[in-house]
Amino acid sequence: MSTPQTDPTKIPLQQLQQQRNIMQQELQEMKTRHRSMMTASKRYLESLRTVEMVESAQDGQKMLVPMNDSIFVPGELTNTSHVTVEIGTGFFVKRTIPDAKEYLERKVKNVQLYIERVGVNILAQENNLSQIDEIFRARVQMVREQADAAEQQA
Amino acid sequence: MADIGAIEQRGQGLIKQFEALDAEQGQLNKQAEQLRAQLMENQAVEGELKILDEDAEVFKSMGPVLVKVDLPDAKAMVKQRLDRLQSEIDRLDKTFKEKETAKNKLQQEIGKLQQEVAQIQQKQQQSGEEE
Repeated sequence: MSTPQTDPTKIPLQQLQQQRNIMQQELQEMKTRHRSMMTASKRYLESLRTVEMVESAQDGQKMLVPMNDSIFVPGELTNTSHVTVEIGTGFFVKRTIPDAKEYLERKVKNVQLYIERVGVNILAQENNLSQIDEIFRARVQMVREQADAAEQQA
Repeated sequence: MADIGAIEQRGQGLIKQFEALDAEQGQLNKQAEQLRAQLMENQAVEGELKILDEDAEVFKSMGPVLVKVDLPDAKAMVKQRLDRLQSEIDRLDKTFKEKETAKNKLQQEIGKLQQEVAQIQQKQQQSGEEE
């Protein structure tokens, strides 16, 4: 987070504008991160629901197994006490239903904490930015008035 | 005075070099950022593997299939990846610092040239006043 290190009412206008651009860029990056975290959270929640579905199913439950997006073959569940869960970077672990749920719930919690933190930062950044904008506008106005006054005197 | 023109031309060249270094640094930063994200993901996996029981069944996806791997092997694979990422990040950081040093040197040179121009201009002004 770049907080303005110099007094925004005193530094040269051009520099102030640069600072504003940098802050805007940072804000965009934060929003991108926020969005991707929301997607991750949604994915974990969906997985959690799927695990709950398996939990509630009986062994021998008939189902159609997707071979790809459009081809299915008939199958049946032979083990409803375990699922194989991705833990990232292509690694999967076979876990009991309660363990899988614990893992997914933990992930959801972590991601949501992160989302909250980024959300707070986004608000703070937006606040800073609108303050800078205000100062910027006021200073441009002031320069203009001074120029007008000088013109009238001359 | 041909002097000022020559100095300014040299200055322009230096400024171009400076801007090129700046752009390279931006590029390095982007690369390092991606690697750091990968590092974090691998660290998360390392953490998950650590809390597993010894007899846990671990698989690695290779294309469309899951291949069973022993837990110690999986740990070693992740460790290796972490080491590689870290050394890659260190290398990028080092290059970044080198560019920073080169930038500082250029800045000093540009400052010197600006001083030279100012001095010549001052002399010109003085001799102009004397005439």
